[in-house]
Amino acid sequence: MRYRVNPDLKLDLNRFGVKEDWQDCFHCGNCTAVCSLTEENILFPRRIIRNVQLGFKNKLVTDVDPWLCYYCGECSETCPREANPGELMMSFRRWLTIKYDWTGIARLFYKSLPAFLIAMIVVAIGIIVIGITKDFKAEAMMEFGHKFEKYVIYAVACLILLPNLLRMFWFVILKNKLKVPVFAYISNSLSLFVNLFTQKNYLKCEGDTFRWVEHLLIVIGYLGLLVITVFFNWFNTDSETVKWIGYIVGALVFIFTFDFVLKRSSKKRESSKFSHPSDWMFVVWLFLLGLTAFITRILVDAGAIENNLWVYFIHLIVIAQWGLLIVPFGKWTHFLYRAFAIYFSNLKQAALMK
Amino acid sequence: MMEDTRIGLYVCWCGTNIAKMVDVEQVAKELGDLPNVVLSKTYKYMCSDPGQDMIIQDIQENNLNRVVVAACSPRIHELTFRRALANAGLNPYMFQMANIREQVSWVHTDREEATKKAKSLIAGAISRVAYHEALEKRTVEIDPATLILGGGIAGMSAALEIADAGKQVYLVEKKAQLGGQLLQVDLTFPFMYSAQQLRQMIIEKVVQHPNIQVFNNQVVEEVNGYIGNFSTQIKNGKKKETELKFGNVIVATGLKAFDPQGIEAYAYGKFPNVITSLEFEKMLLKGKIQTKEGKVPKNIAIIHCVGSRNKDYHEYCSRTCCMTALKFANQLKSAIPDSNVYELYADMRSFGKGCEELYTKTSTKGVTFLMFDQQDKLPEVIKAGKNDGCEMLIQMDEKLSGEEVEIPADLIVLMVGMEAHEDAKKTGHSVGISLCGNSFYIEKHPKLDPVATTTDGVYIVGNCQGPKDIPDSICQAKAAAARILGTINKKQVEIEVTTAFANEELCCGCQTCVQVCPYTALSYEEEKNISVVNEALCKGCGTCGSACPCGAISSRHFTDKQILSQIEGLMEMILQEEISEN
Amino acid sequence: MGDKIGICFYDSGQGFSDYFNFKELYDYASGLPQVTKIWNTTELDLKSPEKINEQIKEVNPDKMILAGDFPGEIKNLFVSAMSLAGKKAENIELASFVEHAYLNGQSTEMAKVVLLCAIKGVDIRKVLVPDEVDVHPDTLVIGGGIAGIQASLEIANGGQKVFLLEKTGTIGGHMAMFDKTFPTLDCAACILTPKMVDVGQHSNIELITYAELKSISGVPGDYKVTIHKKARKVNLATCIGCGICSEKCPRVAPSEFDAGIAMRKAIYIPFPQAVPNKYLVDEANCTYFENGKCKVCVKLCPVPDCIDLDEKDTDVEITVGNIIVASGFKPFDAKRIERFGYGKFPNVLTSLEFERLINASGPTGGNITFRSQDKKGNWIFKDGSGTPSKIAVIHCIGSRDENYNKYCSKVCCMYSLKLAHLIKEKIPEADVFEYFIDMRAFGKGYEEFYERIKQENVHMIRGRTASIKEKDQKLELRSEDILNEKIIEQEVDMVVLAIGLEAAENSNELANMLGIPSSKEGWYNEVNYNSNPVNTSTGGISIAGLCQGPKDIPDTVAQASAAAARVLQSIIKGKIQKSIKDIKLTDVETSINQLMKK
Repeated sequence: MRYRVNPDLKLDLNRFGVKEDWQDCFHCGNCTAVCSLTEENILFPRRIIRNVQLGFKNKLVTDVDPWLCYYCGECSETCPREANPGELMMSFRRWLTIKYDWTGIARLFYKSLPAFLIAMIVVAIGIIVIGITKDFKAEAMMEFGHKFEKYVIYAVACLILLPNLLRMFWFVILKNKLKVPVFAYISNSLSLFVNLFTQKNYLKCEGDTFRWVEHLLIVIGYLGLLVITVFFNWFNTDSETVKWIGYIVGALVFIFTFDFVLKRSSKKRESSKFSHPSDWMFVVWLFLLGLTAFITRILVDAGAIENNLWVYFIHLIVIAQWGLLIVPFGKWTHFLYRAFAIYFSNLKQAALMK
Repeated sequence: MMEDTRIGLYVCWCGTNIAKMVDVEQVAKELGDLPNVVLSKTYKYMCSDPGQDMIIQDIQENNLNRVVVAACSPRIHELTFRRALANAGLNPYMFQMANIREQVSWVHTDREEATKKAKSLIAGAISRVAYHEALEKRTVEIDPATLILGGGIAGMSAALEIADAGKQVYLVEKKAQLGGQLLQVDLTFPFMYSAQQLRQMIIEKVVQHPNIQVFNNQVVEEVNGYIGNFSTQIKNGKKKETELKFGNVIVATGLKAFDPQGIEAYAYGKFPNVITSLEFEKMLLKGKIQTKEGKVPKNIAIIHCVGSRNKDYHEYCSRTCCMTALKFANQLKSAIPDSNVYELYADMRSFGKGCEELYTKTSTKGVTFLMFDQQDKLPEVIKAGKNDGCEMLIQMDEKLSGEEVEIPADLIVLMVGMEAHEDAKKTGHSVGISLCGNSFYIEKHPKLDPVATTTDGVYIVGNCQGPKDIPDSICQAKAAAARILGTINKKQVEIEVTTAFANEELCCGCQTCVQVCPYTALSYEEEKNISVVNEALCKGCGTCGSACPCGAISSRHFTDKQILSQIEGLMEMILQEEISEN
Repeated sequence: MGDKIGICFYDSGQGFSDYFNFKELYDYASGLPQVTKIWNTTELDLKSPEKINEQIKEVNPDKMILAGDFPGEIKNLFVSAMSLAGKKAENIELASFVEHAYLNGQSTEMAKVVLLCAIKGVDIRKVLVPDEVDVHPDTLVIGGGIAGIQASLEIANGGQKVFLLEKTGTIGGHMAMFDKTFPTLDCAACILTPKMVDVGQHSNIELITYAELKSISGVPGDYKVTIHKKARKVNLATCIGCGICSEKCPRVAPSEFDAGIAMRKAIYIPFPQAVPNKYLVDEANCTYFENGKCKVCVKLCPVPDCIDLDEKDTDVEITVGNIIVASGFKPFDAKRIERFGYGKFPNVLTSLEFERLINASGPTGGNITFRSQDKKGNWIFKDGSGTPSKIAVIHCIGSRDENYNKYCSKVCCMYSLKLAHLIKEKIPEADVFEYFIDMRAFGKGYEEFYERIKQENVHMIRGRTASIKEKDQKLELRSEDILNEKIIEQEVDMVVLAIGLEAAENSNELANMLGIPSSKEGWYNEVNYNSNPVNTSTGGISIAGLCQGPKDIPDTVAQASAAAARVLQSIIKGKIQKSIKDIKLTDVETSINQLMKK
């Protein structure tokens, strides 16, 4: 197949946060070689830089490699042309996110910060309106909140995430006309779940064990918090066990996301030198989520929730913005796409082996 | 022989270079017993100061009158030792060198056999040196004027350097205008300085210089004479001839652009919007970048290595095209900011001062670089289809992505390489210099003497020696000027003494020697029906002597007697060795 | 006359605003007659010729001067813009500050001259012609490498006196250390030593080794130079080079000439063909200077009073008319890039070390062996410690890299190919891997050499090695083989790092002393990149060889001879031009007026 060189893609990508540094790449191959995740058939970031430089859109959309990267930053640090391959991978992930998203909303949000902020405000107003209808009563609010969370999860999963994953599957496997052996689908599914929950591939990145532990704890905290609030109704539970588990996972979330926020602001690490608004939203909102949940429960325990309902109210706004905007259309998806990317990548290898 | 022959023999270790493979002590000891050998010694590095001092001291203390050094190739250190002899008050030609490094230790692996061979080579040298005769240095006067062929940047720079010292220069240019390739250049790489300012300034200086006489539209047919005393007649068409006399010659005839018509894949001449880099330079000079149809191009492709680095055309790299191409890309991005510029290259050779930086800058401007295989798979230019939105397409195997790609193009610039002028050989012959396989003029030594030639007093500078950019050309021009100013300053120059000489009585006037001499040193004298040697031109190569059917010509320092005695000495030693073995 | 002139200032953002005060230049330009309007590129839309045309249309200048560090960068943009208003390309004039006015000091003043010339339509090179003064016929050449040797010989053969100043104990420089030279594979020492001997014996050359420039005063044509001669502690005149002192000396130190891969004594000759071939004492490594004892050398020396360990440094003063600076370069320090493990893994070598290792006059007699420890624990190369069968050469170490040096060092590709050939010559069955980015085989016969090496079954890999790790006594290189689209983890026995070139140690100090401009990296700047690549803006001072920037031997030799040309020219004429940098704006105004009258 002959690809048409199309330099206009470059302009398109600029809107996803990356500076044009990657234009400077002169293809020495250092980034690919310095990366400890690259293998025989998994060659990034250079190959991706090349495809971006030449504007091979159709080829790029079928690529899952950017999801495999955990951004240790070594490629950018050692790049002889300061072409920032690591940051390109991040921007390219954003680009892929909008390609997977069937609604087109992700595209709108990534390209236009005002649009996203307006959506955030609209959601907040919605919650306020609901608050008004409930007369700002703690019990009613919390009951509503509990149901709301549940429905949002189901709706987002079925209407957005699942179709998007299917689109991803189509781009990566079906469009490439890969003949994946049926057995491979099953044999690799275990690693899908392992990766989803443990991100164990992270460990391949040299010297980055601490960052992996942080990531792992946040995932555990976040998923724990999700399960404990939605399925065990943490805010209203009387079970001591549930209550304390909730405290622990809630703390995990805001403590480690706070560290992430600090790192992003200090810009010391290669991976936190550049931050797209979506990166900030993600860490800050996750932090707020954990913190407000934690304080809410303390207030419940102290019997002071009625007088301090505004805390829960903020929590609800954060949850709504998180669940309706950031999860389906924001950076949250990288958590899902990454695990599936590893899965699809394995399927791809299996197909190629055959 | 009038006096006693007293030979000193010195065998060099050359560190371990020789000593490892040749038993130098044994050699020195055994050969020290040969007749006429007064003393024999070995030393770690004969060429070093202490080594030479030892020889000098021995000559003075032991009344040596001949010296043999067994060491490396005479090409390397013969002069060194001759000078040592002279310092000791001995005629420098009473010396013979035996090459036991390049011809023995470096090429053999059996120490015993190698030692034997070394012995016979040295025995030959000892036998030969006994017949050496003292030769005296000769000098010629230098005519302070200089002839320069070619009025490009190299020729003009050389002219100014010499003329500014107050010496006369004759500058001969084939074309009507001075300036050469610089005439067609807008900006220079990598700093985008104005080439036109440079051209105007330098031409004005040359034309107005009281010591430079410019001959436009003229050519030199034949240069006669030798260093210090050349003469020629320069011709303006058929009209006028001017007779010039000068002491040195600088050849700065440059190169010409490769004609890409022979490369089918690029469709030059077929599609009007495929142009050469020269044609593009003209567009830039005019200030209008447009297609033949008068439109502003949106997609411009620049193809590198056209006619270079490919065995079908020229194997060599033309050195300046990569940088010129980067310069073009920058100028294009400047003139048409929303254009797409593609550089199709093989290896990016941006090696000079500020050049890698220009490459980076060009990348930053969003120029797309694509790599092709310049030897086996050239890109192909085809006509675009109706829906392609451009006029032409380039199809290529892109090596950095591993994909087959096509590139839309409205204008294609071919970075044509440089090649020798058709008359390079003729010009070279007229001044007595020769061409290498690529038809560039050959320098005396590729590294340590890049502007001199094997003909004394004739220098090559600028592109005619090999492709190069403006600063490098100017450096060479000035380098040649330095050498010439040096000889002018000294007013005279030493010339070869190991020349041929003819025995008038034996000469039969057949003129065979006149035909074979590569330096035009022999001429026929009709009156006496004999050949005569011009010793100022003769390099002592010996071609005439071996061709002479009557044995009338012999070369100083290479007489039959000397050579035969060398062979005798050599064979005798071999014989002796064999006898002792059996 | 009466043309409307527009000026547009442009700062390319490469840091030259430190040298040129754009504000001051703006004010200066606005005070000149004919200047109708001045813009700054920051107020124009550089992405669109159409908009620029709109912006400058109301003034509609007849002539547009683009003034800045590198105004050529925007020339074509303005050509496009002005052609929309029907103006021709000739109506645009460049006032290139860096090209004509880059000095270390008063650059802004000189930039004013550039501006004035552009406005008057006079080439600056015609008015920047300094007055001539008498010249002292002697010349000082700083640096005894191939450039200094060539320049000295050129002048000395022209019949003039030369002082050749060399920092170390011998002339020869880096070239003397090399094994063969590319692409003809001539032995470097074989072609260089005759020239060295020539220098040593030349009646017109006074060699001053083991000495440095201390200070300089005076004017072009008559420089008073003070030279600091370090105490050699061995009498040059009486030393017979017998070597007994060195043989019995108890102390060793890494040999500079062998790039540190072998040891030498504290009293030593740098190498056997050194010129002058006399011993010298390395104070820093001599026992006598540590505890006042030993003196073995003094006791054993057969020449009375030849070795004087208490000899003190001295200063000598000479007067010269011209100076040629040929102070060379320093190799890049490979330790700075940690991931290649140089200094940690014994068999990771720099190319300079490898040149010595493979050299027939090197410590192993040219045999390629592994690095091993001697009795005292020094890591050295000696014969008989095993032969590597797989050797990798990595290009661009410290070059073409924003983290170290941005520039290309010009010679590494070719010397790496040469090393590959030499390895194959010594160990024909060895596997040699060359990791490169772009193969820069640009000179005469270079491309042909590259083709030849490819035919010799050297593995050519397009892809920079990212890191070297030690694994079971072997070295593992991780690289991307770009053309074959794969990651390769290659196990080898030895790695040669093709280190780039950097400006010599203290090059900026020397530049300041001589008053010649240098770049940020420390390379010396010529007076004009295109038209005058060997002279500097200081009268009577020329530059030659690597001190101006990386280059190969033929280019160095040509440049060295070129530098000699100006010297000889001035001596023949008896007159020399004063410094361009001392020309004042008022002088230029006068000479422009004179030119105009003509």
